[in-house]
Amino acid sequence: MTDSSIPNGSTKPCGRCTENPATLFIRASHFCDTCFKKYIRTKVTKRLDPFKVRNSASHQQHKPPTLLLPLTFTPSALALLEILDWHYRAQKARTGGRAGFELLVLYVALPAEVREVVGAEDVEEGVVDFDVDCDGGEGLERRIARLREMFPAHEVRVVWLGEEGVPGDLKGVLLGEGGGGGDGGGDGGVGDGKLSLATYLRALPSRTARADALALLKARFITSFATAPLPSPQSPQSPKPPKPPKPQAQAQTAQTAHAILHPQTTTSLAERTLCETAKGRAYALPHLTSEAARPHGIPTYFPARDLLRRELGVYLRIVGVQGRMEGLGELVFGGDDDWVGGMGGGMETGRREQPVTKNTTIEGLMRAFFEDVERGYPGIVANVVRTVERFERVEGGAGGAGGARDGDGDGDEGRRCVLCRMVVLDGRFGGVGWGGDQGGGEMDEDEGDGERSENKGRRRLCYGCSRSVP
Amino acid sequence: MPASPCALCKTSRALIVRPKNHQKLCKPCFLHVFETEIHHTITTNALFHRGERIAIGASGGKDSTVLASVLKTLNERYDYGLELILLSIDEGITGYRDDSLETVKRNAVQYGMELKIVGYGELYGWTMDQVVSQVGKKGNCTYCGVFRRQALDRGAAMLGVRHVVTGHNADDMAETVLMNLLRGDLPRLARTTSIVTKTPNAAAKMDTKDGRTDDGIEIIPDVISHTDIIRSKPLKYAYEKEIVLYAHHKSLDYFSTECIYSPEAFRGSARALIKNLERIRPSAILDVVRSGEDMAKLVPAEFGGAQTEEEGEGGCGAAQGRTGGGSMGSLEAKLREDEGAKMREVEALETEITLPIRTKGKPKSKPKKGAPTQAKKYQKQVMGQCERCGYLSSQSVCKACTLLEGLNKARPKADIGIVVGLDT
Repeated sequence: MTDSSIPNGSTKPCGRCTENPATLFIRASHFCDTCFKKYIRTKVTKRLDPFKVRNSASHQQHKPPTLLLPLTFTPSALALLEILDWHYRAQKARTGGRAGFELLVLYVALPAEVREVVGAEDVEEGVVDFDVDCDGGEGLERRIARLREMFPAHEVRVVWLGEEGVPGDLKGVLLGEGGGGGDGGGDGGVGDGKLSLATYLRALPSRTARADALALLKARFITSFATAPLPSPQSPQSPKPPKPPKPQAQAQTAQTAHAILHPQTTTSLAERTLCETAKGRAYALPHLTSEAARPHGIPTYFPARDLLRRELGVYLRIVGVQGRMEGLGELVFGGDDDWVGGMGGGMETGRREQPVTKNTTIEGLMRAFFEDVERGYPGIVANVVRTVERFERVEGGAGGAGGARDGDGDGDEGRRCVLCRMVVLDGRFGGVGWGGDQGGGEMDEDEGDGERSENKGRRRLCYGCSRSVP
Repeated sequence: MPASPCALCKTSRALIVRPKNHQKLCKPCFLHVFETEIHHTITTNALFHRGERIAIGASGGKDSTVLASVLKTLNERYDYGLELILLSIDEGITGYRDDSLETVKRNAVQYGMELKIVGYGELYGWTMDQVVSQVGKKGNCTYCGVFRRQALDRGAAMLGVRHVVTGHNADDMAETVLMNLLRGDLPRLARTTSIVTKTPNAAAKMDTKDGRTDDGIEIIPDVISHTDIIRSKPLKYAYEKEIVLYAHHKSLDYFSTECIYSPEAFRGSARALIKNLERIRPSAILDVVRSGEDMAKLVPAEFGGAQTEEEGEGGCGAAQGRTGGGSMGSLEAKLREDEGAKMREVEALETEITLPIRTKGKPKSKPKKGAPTQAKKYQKQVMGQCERCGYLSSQSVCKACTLLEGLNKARPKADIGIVVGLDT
């Protein structure tokens, strides 16, 4: 047993303060609630060194850097938000009102049509939590309002994915050869963009493909939101989407955010590693899971990357019981209180054991797998992430020609996958021309872009993306 | 429901749904496509050259039986000009190999191939049954795997063959990729997906020393030669399910059994994942293999980017050298130990952090604690050769010799499977 509660009658003292009785046994140590809270906060804030008050003061600009937190209503993300808020307030208290960063919370909501296409279950299960979740329905406004109450120091923005339609450069890729002639939504009109995104997703072959494509689009959307020039201030009350962030290279200082903080934990990074491996996109792993990489030209941080998902679940339970944060745990979407569980029980294990079918998503499978591994072998989860950290980052994935945004217009453009925007290893686009491509036995050894009917030579999709968007 | 026609010939009735891509094919078209894909793998990778003698690592199981059958077919159809030989290893497990070896013997007759059976008994002086009676059932898979790896090479050397082909299929490859990812085994991630592996030419190195090692230990000639064997995996991109279908539709004579001393954890977890992935998306097996190939390019050179094989480690050697990957529990214990050390370190650092801020002002040059990718020092894996048998090894004495020494001293040493590349 690695993470478990200690029965009430236990007399073991906390291994840290040695005073309070231990309530938790985690990572082979006994903790009381207070020390555990401190432990988690330290783990997170240590990763935020660049955003110390002292560091931000040394910037020429007077305003501290803005950090974008793409929020989902998962225990991990909510816990991270609480920790960041705590950190922010602690900085201000210590320095008489100065903070090392400003936090901008972004919630990317899915329009009803899109949620329907992706499959409500995915959304409800929180299965695709690393990128795509969650609430776009009636609970959303209530949740957002509550967030704003609880975190008045930070702006909380809601934007709707697909509101502006599919990005222009993707229309041909996503909507097939006809490029949006049919189905009404794809004619390039910005107005009915919602429809076009849903339409496009509907055309993909499987739930895994839809979830994958949606996650990629969401990631792109977040990046371009972060790198867009500062918009005029919006009323924080209105969940109306802001103008579409139009990527225009330049003016790094004037962009919406200076860095993106992803709420991914060790567990979700390990999940992602195996997911991307299973999707044939391992070439991009060093850029997807590392803080050192800046695949889209904007620094990315994973402040919770040293913590397990269960640990953040426990943390949320502890901080969410009293004071300002009371009820924070109730904002978790898609599950009663299952994620809180008994301490010994599974955190966030709301889902029953389900048979794997072709309608399962790869994310769902990996999530279930790592739920088990995390419980029994947490070290192995962390080990997966450490392993990927050691991969070499090859080929200008690190932001290309210095700070280009979303890869647009940078020197690597020709080497990037048009969907996931990653620089493709050795320029090997698509599924053609590698050892495993046997072309039904008819293939010759043509390298690179073969003129195979299914590839049509029209798209520069990486291997993984070409599986999801065949 | 109307019968659908074969997607390729459009005339015959489709009887088979290809597991790889769900294409509906008739039987002759399926067999032909399956063979042609392997031909494609062989030719694009230039696996063989005319006149080469090839030993097929034959266990009597489906993979190696199909491999032998397909190679024979292709050798004739495309006139490769190869001399094919069957090479079997007899671990000496009563009731396990007896039957499968009978199958291999029949295969030899059916395919008109020479057959060589090498026994652990004659190679090492210990059959697996004897090993198990000595060390018990737990951990014996380590012995089997380590012994087997060398056995194939030694057997090949006895036959005067420099090239062994094994029946590793796409499922095996994909499993291995996931397994090595879970184990954090970078050196293996770097090399297991390559289609051809080779032990470095230790023989050439030793020739200059008059058949002696650096320490002056004399090397027996036939031992030298087994360190320079090429191994390749023509079925690397073939799905296990298609191999079974091929064997079935070709009515091949193969033997199906699991080792009675069965393998453990990591391989099993990875295997279950792969099976589930295949259910979700049939291409996933191939996609994982592709990922594995790409990851191999991302492994830094110091972790062993070289395409070399070392003796198997820590696990079952069934089905031609697949290792069981050790148990999750033992890796977890080791990781926890490391983590414990690190936590103690962190605690020390934390104390430092909680000191008043001013006292920390000066030493700016200290390494950043929060820095994301602090590469640690890892022991580089240096491949040398065993000073006793000359086999490729990262230690001065190879695992087989170490295990044998343990056995011979009646003292088992099952726990030497060190995972390279982890924090130390």
